[in-house]
Order: sequence, then structure tokens, then C-alpha cells
Amino acid sequence: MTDQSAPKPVTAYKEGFTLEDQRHFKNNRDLAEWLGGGNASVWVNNRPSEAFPSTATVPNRLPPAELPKAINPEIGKITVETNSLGTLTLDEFMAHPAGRAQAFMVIHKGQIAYENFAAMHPADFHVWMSTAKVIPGLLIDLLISEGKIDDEKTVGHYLEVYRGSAWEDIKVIDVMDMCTGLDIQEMQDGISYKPGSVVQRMLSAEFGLPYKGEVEDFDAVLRDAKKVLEPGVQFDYSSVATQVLVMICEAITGEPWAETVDKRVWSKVGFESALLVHTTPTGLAVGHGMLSTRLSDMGRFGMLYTPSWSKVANEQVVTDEILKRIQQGTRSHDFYMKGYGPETAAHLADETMISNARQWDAVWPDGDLFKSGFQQQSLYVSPSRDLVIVNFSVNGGDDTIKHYLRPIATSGLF
Amino acid sequence: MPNNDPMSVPGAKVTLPVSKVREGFDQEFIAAARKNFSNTHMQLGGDHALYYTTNFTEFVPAAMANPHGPVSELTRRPDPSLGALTYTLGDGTESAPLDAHLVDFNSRVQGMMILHKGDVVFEAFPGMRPEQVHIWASVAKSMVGTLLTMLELEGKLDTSKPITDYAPALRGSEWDTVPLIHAINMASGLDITEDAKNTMDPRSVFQRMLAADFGIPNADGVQEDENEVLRGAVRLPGEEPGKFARYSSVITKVLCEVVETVTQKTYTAVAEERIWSKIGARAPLVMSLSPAGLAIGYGAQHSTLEDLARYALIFTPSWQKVAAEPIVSPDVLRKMQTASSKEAYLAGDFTDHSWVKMCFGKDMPIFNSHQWDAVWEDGALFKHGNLYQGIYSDPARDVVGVFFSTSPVNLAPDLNPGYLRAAAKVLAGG
Repeated sequence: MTDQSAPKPVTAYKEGFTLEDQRHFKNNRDLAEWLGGGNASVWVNNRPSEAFPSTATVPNRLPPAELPKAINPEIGKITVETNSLGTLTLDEFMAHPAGRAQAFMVIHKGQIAYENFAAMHPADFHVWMSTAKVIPGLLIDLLISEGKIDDEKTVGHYLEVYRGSAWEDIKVIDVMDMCTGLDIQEMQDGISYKPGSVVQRMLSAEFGLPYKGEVEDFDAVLRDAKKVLEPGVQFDYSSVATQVLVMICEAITGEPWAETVDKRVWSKVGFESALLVHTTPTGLAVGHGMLSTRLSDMGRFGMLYTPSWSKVANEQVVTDEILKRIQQGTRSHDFYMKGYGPETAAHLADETMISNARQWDAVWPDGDLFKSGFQQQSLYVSPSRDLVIVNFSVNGGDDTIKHYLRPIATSGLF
Repeated sequence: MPNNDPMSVPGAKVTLPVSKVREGFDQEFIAAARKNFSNTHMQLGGDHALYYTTNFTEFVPAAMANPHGPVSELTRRPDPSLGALTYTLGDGTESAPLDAHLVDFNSRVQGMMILHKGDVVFEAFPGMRPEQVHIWASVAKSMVGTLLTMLELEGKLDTSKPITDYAPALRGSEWDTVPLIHAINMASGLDITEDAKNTMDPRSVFQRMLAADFGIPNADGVQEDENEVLRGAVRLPGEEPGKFARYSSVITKVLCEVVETVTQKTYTAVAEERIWSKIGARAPLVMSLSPAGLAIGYGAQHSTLEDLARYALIFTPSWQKVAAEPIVSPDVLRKMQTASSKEAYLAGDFTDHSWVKMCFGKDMPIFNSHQWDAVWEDGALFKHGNLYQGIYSDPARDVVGVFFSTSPVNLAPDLNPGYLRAAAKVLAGG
């Protein structure tokens, strides 16, 4: 028997998983292992519908919109200072076993300018982790544009289940911008997903995994959130906030969240494959992170925020108004840096962003947008440069790959 | 006393038209369907089953066999005359015209496609959107048979050996006495048949296996280990393997394990590598997994109807319409068309099925073979699925037909298979 806990390079799984691998991972379900960045993380990220108890499938209804290739070799030569491997080009980093990068793609004006599937098959699904959050954010924005949501109204106004809890008087806009003032932060006392925290208990409930021996009720976990600050004071990153957006969306539409994504987004775009919406055991979409697609489809999604949207979609999903709401929706750099901002800035090795906004982790003065995923997935969009950068990794700790994003965007190549 | 009548469970009965699936369900309906999910509830084919058959991954984890490369676009060449197609039923009466059949509330058909020479000549989606995935049910078994036949002809397994040579978890049980070839042809001699009695008995090996594979408690409230359920199979008195073909999903479950043991890959990986990556499919082939991680390749397998049609084409001369290389070799096809027993077929229970009697009473298959339910003298292959799914692949006439439904087995006999074979004859001129 292979020792499944001995860390293997991510390239070991490029062609998939052996029978023994699959049996081992399927029968050893452990949240810490899944999130830890080791072998089990590769499996969860590339085989999410096997790991999670429940998955809703949003089909690709339109014929796939092909992305022509216009490869620019200069992109792979862009160098950054890595955390521990010295100065490396993007190509070198992608090939480095310590990077644990699986795939990277740059799309400029609707054409693939760089692609590197170092450690996964282009046809494989991969979990977005928190890069997913921009989709719940987009649906709220679409419903605002339709006049169905007012983001100055409160959580309690839209969700009866949270009346009488600390959520009741929090405005939707403060949920969108992750400044609820509740103790739902992802990072507490320097620890991500601290055992016993609301966010860690929520994740366990979502995966049907026990907390203190019992699978908890999702709503009950969220109702346990306590107020620690006034809302709106600082950026306190939290997946719990995004989940509340998913629930508000369902309350407004009366339909499963996955169906709303289908009707309002996925059915209008020529994606190559389906969007997998992994759900809690009771069927609530885990929109804060547990969405999976091919990498190229994440790229096509990013294109919806660029002038090249028409090359993949049959109507403009992200309207100019919605894009402006994000780009002009930043609060202040001070608001950002008082909270979780320094973490994101460190991930990017860049502090020139203004702040977060509407589920995006960073918005720059030039209008560029960035969303990070827990295992170093990235979605970076530059509407002004008509540029999308996406990548999948399973790194639990080293965030070096994100160091490349802003330098690529500002390289002068685009 | 708890009420144990399955038909009294909300959502068990048929009240909704299948067109409801095209429109979508509200949260209240979905919540009720979730609350009542079970193998037995689904098998009733009622309103809730309409949700399960198109959303199964919400209930059971699944692996994905992904398509690779560009989609193979199928040419549309509609033949309007097929809507008026009728055929002679087993009782001697004439069927309704196909168009009338498809809109009949009780037919429960959700989608049907017929292809001639690789082009789509007929398609109708009264009860699903074309992009939706739908359960194949036992249509999936045709893939198990195909993969096993490929492996056999590559010399990777010996079908004369006991099945437990390739299914180690069952060694030391009655399965040791079953040669692989008789398992492949559904003549195991074990008391695991899916006849009416076992299908309605929640304590049969068949129903206990379904409960274990769906990850839910059995009729006695116990969540059983899937291999322990299989190991409990006993011999039918006086039945030697190979003598009586008796339909059983339990056999196919073991055959999926055989594929994995031989290849040392997951069943899904084998399906992707050998078939699904090569046919220009639009969407993944979705393989539901048992709690232990074995693909439920005997039935909980899902795709769009058009992708099922692409798969059906690989058995015909029109395989080039979807694939760059032949997937099913002439030898594999011939083996599946010929290597079975008419005696065992007639002695067993295959011909008891109402769809066989009604659709083919006047045009009987010669036998079942290699997980296909019906093979005709002319080489045509058919596989039926629970809740009325079907795949008909007719290499000689270069016609394929596929359909998805959600129908209770007791509402009306499945007449869809007969339309497909009748269409093949009309299209090919006899």
C-alpha cells in the first residue's frame, strides 16, 4: 500500500487518480486534510463531486465559445520575488514542485495569450474555493438592477430565519462588502478556520462533517454569530457573509440558487462544460467557495467583466452599471487595511489597491478586480486592458502564485 | 402503527405532467422531494421521481467522466413521417402514432431521439430540456458489458474464471461458484434476480443493495455495508450458473468491480479513457458513487440524451460522426452480438418483462448478451432501463434510438422500445 499521507508533487495526479488513491480519499473524509494543501486537497479540488455529499449541475446550454490562441511567450518570462524560492519566471514557477500550481491561463481580448496545464487535465473540474464568491455577489447585483433587492435594507428584512439574531439589522451592502461587524471572520487570532469559530463550524455543517461529534444545523450555526464591532467599520473577510447572500438570493427568487445562476448567467454564455454547484446536505448551494468548473470556463466567466464579453455571451450579463458599482464601490484604503486587507495585500505582494468591494478582494484605481481562492486559486480581471488571468492550485500555504497577477497586468504587454 | 404503504408517501403518485421538468420546480416541492428521498420512493416513478431522475447528483456523490476536445456536432435531417409511425404490439393491436404516444400523459416520455446514418432524423423533448442530464438507469449496463468485452478481447481477463478472481471482496461467498461469462450474461444462478417479487420486497438483496449504494438505511433502519449485502446472496435451488438468464443489477455491480480490479483504475476513469473522452460529448458522463466509492454503473449513470445518442453511435458504421477513431472494434461488437445462450434466455425471466411482450412479441430477440437485454438475429442491440429508459443500436440498419422517461412500471407497459425498432426498419427500408 502506498503511504497516502506522504506529500506527492501535484504533477503526480496530472493524469488522474488510481483506484487506490480514490478509495483512500473517499474513505478518509477529513476537513483539515481537505484544506491542508496535501494529497487529499488535490483530490477534493479535482474530484469535488465525489467528495461532497450533494452537487447541483448547471448545464452548459449554449455551444462552447472557442477561445482562439495567440500565445505571447513573454508572459511566461515575467519574474517575481517568490516567498522562498528566489526570483522565478512564471514558467519556472509553474514547473517548480514546491509551487503546487496546477494550471494558469491568461486571456487577452478574448484570445488565450498564455496557458499552462502543468498538473491537471484541461477537461477536469476544479473547485474555485473563494474565487466563487463573486458569483453570489453578481447575482445580488443583478437582482438589485432588476429592482428586487435594495442593498440598504437589512438581512432581517429578507431572511426571516435570522430575525432575532445579530444578523437582523445588518444591511445587505455591509454583507456584500464583508464588514458585518460579527464574529464570523475567516481569520481569528491568526488562525484560518479556527476550531469552534462560526466559520469553521459552518464549513463542517456544509460538508456533512461532524463538529464535536454531531453534524450541526446550518441556520443554527449562523444564528450563533455575535456582534463585535459596528457594521461598516472594517473589511472582515468571511465566507459566512457570502452564504447569507446566497440565502437572500433564494428568498427573493423562490428558486434554488443553482437555477438562478443557470437562468441569469450560465445559460447566456458559451461555456465548455457545466458549473458544479456543491450544496449542503440539505441542498443549499455553498456559493462562498464550493463551485467547480474547467479553468477555461473560469476564464470565460471573467470575460463577462471585460469588453470582450460578446465573444462568449449572447447578452451582456455584467452590465456597465454593475461593473461601475464594483469599481466605484470601494470604501477606503484605511477601511481595508484595518481589517483583512493586509492579508490580501501580502498575498498579492502589492498594496496599491484601494479596497475590497462587492465580494471582490481587491479593486485598484485603474479599475482592475481580483478575487482569491483559499488554495491559491485566482480570478483577476482588468476591464480596461480587456484581460483575464485565472489559475488553479492546491497550495495550502505558499501564496507566491498570486505575486504574478498584478505584474502581468501592469507589464505593458496588454 | 406507522403507515408503511409506499404509495401514501407524498410525491409517490403521478399527478404532474412530465412537462413540469422543463419549467422547473419550486423550493417547497424540492424540499419535500429531498425529505422523502429513497430508492423505493424513486422507483415508484411518481412526482418526486421526476426531480430525482434529472437531479440525482444532489442526492448521491458522483464522479465525472469528462469529454475531451471539441463537441461532435450532429447533423439535423428531420424526417416528418416518423411522427405518424405505428407498429404492431405484442397483443396484435396497432400502437398509437409516435407523436400521439409522446404527448400521452401516461407515456411519461421526457425525451426521444432517433438517428439514421449518424444524423438526427427525429427528436422530441416533451419532459426535459435537451441540455439536462437524466439518469440512464439500467441503460448504463450496456457500457459495463462493452468495457468488459473490450478487456476480454485484449486478453486482460478470462471469462471462464470465477467472478471472484476479479472481485476479491466477495471471495469465500457463493459468488465463487459463478463463472465470469455467466455473470456477464446474467445467468448467475443466485437468488438476486430483479423479478416483481424482489423488486417489491424491501428486504431482497436487490433493494438492500440499492439502499446501501444510495447511502440510506434499509427497510429495517440499518445502513448496511454494500459488500456484506452482496456476500449474502444464496443459490437458487437447483439452478446452475449459465442455465437461466435472470436479470439482476446486483451482478452488474460486481462487474463494475471486475473492471476496476482488472484495470486498477476507477470505473469512471476507464469509461472516460475508453469512451467518453472520444465521442465529442457536450457534457460529462456522471457516475454516481456508492459510499465505498464504487461507480453505480448498473444504473446511476447520467448524461444528456444527445450524448447518450452519441454513445449509441459507436456501435454503428456511423461512429465516424462522433469519433476520430473506432471505439468498438468489429470483434467486440460481434462478440456481444453472438456470445450468449438462447436456451438460457428462454428459460429465464427476461421474456417476462412487459416491454418485451408488448414491443417485441411479434419480433422476438434471440437472447440477452453481455449486459444488453435484447439482441436480434440481425445484430441489433437494445438495453432497457428502470422508469423507462432505452438505447437501441442497430449496426446493420445504421440506426440508433434513445429515450428517457420517468414512468412507474405499473402505469402502462413501456412501448418506446418498439417505436425505435420499427423506425429502424422504416428508415432502412426493411
